[in-house]
Amino acid sequence: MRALFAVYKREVALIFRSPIAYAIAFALFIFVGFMFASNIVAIANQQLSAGSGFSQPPSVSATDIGQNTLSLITFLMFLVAPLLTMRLLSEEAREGTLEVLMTLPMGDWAFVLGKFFAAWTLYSVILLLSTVHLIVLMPYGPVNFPVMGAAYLGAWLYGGAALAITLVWSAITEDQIVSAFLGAASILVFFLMDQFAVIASGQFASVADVMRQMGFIPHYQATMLSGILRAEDVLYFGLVMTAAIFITTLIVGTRRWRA
Amino acid sequence: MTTPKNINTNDPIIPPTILIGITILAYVIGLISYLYGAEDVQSLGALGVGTISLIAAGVMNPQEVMAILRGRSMSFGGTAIIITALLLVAFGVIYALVASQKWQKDLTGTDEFSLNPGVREVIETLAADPTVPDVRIIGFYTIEQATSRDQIELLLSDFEEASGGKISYEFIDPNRAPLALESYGATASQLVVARLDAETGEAIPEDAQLVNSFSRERQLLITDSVITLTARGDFRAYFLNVESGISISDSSDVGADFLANQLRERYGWTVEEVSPLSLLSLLEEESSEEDGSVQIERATGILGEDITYLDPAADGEVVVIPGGQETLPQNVTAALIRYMEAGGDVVIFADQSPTPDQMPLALEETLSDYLYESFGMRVNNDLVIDPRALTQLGTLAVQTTDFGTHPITDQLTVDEGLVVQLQMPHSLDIAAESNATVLMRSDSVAYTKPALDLTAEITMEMLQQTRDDVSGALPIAAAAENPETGSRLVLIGGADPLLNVNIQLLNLGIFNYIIAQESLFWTTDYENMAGTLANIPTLVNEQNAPINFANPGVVNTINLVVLFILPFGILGSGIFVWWVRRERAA
Repeated sequence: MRALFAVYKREVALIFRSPIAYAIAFALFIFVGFMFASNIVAIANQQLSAGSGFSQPPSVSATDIGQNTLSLITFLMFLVAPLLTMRLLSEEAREGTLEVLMTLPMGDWAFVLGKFFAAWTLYSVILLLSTVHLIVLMPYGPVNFPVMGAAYLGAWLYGGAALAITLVWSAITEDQIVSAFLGAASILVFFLMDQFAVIASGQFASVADVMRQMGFIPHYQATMLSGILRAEDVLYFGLVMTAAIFITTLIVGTRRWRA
Repeated sequence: MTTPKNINTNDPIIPPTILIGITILAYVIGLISYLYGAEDVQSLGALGVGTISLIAAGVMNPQEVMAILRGRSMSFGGTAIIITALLLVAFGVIYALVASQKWQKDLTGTDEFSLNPGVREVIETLAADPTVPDVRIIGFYTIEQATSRDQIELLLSDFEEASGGKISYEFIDPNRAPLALESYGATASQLVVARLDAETGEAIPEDAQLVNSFSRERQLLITDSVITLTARGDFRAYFLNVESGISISDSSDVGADFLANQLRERYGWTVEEVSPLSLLSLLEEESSEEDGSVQIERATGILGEDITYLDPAADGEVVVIPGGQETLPQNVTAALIRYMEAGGDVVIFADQSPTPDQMPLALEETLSDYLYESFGMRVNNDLVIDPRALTQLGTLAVQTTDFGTHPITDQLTVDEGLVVQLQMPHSLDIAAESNATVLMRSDSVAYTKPALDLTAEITMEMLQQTRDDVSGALPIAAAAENPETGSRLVLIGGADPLLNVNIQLLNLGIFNYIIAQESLFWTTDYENMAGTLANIPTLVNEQNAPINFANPGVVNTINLVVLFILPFGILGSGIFVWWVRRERAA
């Protein structure tokens, strides 16, 4: 555990001292902010129009806007997660520091977990900053905190799963760009799994059901984002993280017996 | 003989790489053939060719095969692959186990995904009754609608849990089972509520109820369908076919077949239109049973159906007098009184007669005296006039929102602004010492006039209020129960609540229909769970109230924060960190 914490501390320090993380967060919040602002302006215009008697007043709550924002952030994880994890292991392998770290008295799992938790911490900070979008709405409408709590929990787990998956590619290849692209593709596959299931349902009906359950959408958009907490959804993300980290640990471990 | 130079006797005839390629290709073809449902021989044949190719490749290169099997790649990597595969399988099993438990928590604070407490109570009551058959809710959802299916499943699992399994559910993909969709007459994303056959356990499509799953009140709709399917008890309503009365066989606006059909189809009642003469059987010689019940000679209704009045086998029975502009024959009146004396329940809708000298059925003297003596109420021979309706709309309609506290008017007192409207109603005479409950009163500015000649021209002067006219909040409907006989009576000063036109009036906020239906339910003590449903308020979470930007300026402030302060604040922090590190590095 001490080794894990040591790796974690080191990585967190590296991440927050590097301008890359800030650049990624900036790009994310610019895009999310633009979409958020467009939404707010549309609602305000609709209210003005309703006040003049030309249309119905909008029935959008602050909670609805918060859910839309979170939905956008989780969708963008297919870009953000690879960018956050692409250098974690690839860079170590390319610069040769990975072999040095392998000689240290710690298990591969501690090393991988420390890296993962550091990336997850950065994502958690990003998620925390996104609550600003909700806070600015609070003076103008009530927020359903239990629902938003479930939505944020889901977004946090979603991000963790995405980071864990992209970390696998960072362990596989030394090239950060390749790692990022493959990571993005993997996340998109999980995100679009229910669409693939629709395509597969025509011929492979039972396989389609399983495929759908493997995707992110049924475990987040349909339930946690809407304020429904299901044990299977929390377990799903936990198992995805565990499986991905396990595979990453194995890949890192192959360096020992490959040498 | 010399060996050709270009032939190496150590080279295999077919290079191993090609054999590996053939193996992969054959397995892929075999898999695709299997998944596409091709003939078994095709897929097995392809798998066989692939296996033979693989074995041949191994036989032709034994050293390489041994190196792979004994090398570190297999010993470490192979073990890792096996462990990973086992781990993933284990995760799948764990996930499936947890998913089957359906542990979930609805945090929305609304009844969109979980049962409303009132609905839960109704479901638990239904489930506790052993005579109520099992019910299945079938959801037709394609895989494209899987998200909607997942969300509705949350609600349906609640139904299952609350009913202790008496209400079960299943999902059918209409693309895979189109015949099932057709048999229920449903469409995709629609819910069907069907009874289960007690013997086979299969759903019965014939009387299945369709439910719109997209409605916000879907759980009320589902529960209503369950109630309809599981209608309990033998309840009967006998509508007397009286002269100038309202007929339940009439489908026009002035008929009452809608009420009759609702009672039959929705609530499972026996509803018949009978001749008043059938009541005469009550005057025939009867024998008393040892248990005190009265065995009445069987009578025949106008439809040729056998009728047993005051049948002890019935759970509830009511005789309805649907208007009528002429009195009944004396013997029939006597029979009706006899019916009430024996504990029979009656609902009387009083109509106006065309001329003052013609007594409407409800005002027949003998009947009227009996009602006043036994129940403390009777219908007055008058006409209630609401001056507002008269002057503003030029009609003799009386609208009321003044409802008494009684099970019959429960649904009308749930929300404000619900209205009942009677055309030219009578007022009621309520005895001071009676236990009758006034169901509806006119507005306080209303007044009565003696019965008018409706065949002649009616002028405004005739309708103007005079000093002698009785005025005030006049009772126009009442209900009472005779404590000695147990008989229940409802008197309504107009026949409007029976009419089919009331269905259109619902859109105008006029709820005449409820008065008619609830009168029948109350007199028979029918446990109207569907009516209970109507009183269950939808759970509304105030935290979901719409957002309201007080003025356009606040939008600019919000945009400033989310478009500039937040992202550029982060960027500024990054630049600051970079600058500090740059200085240190320097």
